[in-house]
Amino acid sequence: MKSKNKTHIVKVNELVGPYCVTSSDGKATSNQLIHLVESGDQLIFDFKNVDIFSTSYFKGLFNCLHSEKDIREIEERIKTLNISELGDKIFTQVLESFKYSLNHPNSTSIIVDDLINSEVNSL
Amino acid sequence: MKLIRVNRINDDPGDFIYLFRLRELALGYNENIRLNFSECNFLRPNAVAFIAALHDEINSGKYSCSIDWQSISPRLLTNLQQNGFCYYFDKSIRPWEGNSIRFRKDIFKNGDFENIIKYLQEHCLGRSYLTIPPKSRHEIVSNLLEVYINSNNHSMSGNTVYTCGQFFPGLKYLKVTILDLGVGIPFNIDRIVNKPELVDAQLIRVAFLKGITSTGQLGGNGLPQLYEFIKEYSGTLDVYSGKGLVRGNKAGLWLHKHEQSFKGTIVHLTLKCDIIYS
Repeated sequence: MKSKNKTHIVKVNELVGPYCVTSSDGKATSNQLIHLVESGDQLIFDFKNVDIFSTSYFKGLFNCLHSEKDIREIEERIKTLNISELGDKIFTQVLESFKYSLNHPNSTSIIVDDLINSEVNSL
Repeated sequence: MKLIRVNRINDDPGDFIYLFRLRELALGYNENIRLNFSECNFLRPNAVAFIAALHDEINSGKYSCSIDWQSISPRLLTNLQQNGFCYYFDKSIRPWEGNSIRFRKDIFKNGDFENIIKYLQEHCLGRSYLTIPPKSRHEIVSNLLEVYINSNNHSMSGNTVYTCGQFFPGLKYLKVTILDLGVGIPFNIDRIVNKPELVDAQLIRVAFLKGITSTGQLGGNGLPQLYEFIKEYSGTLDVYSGKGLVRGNKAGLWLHKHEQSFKGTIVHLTLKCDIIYS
């Protein structure tokens, strides 16, 4: 059965310029797409002419998208295009980290508990 | 007016602790301060950034802080002129290109990072004697930017950040110090994890964990990302905040505690340049 869903290419540079830096930029990108996310369409983020990336940008983007749809569902419907190696690395890292936090809500607490025993030397 | 003599300051942990003591001393006098450099023949960029921040901090309060320019040796003065420290106080003394990464104070308004990106690209990495492929340049800028974003998001310092650095062509490394006088990492992390047993260094260590969340919001990837980058470039990352220091390098993360508290955050980076140096 053929899907009726469309594919949209989102030119990120036109939304936020050459720097994907702040969580506000991430939210701004997301806000432009929320209606597409809700409709179940495929989204391709085109990062052509975007040179600088930060984790904050992707955090803002995913947090905002996740507020509308489950991030695992979103992951299946978003792809990247023309993204630099660094951008791709940060994109993947933030997404994986997000999913991990959702799947293991107590993981932070467990790791932090372990830190209590970590060695601290006096200067 | 109280005279405070500043010693020569390097960038070892002991030098940072000296700076923290200096700050406590200056703030504790509750009178006007004059910084004297007659016993100082050397200031690393971390000290330059710190002293400028201290100067502003005192002047933003009830008392004033001034610098005894006459007490500065000609050699040190040249260095301070070159790196833009003097320009910060007197706009007629323009800095010039050399091995310094120009001193800079940023107040981020509305999350506008464009100026700092340009600074990092042009003054930090755009030096004529450094040939860095655009890909690496973007990578370095993106990673350094994480420090500014963290500071902007979490420091509660009025979004003010101080930066200074230097290239060491002979040793082929560059050093950059980025600092704010905000609430500090231990304060922020403690609010999230609520573990009174953790000392400050351990709380800073928590910030190196990926995906630390507070209220279900995704967070905490900036410092881990920066650390990964530092390891890749065989560098060193020192993070001072509160009574803690976390040092990260290829071999791992090392936690240290000290008695002199520092309200604020300092990120001090050393990058080996032989990978990117022409």
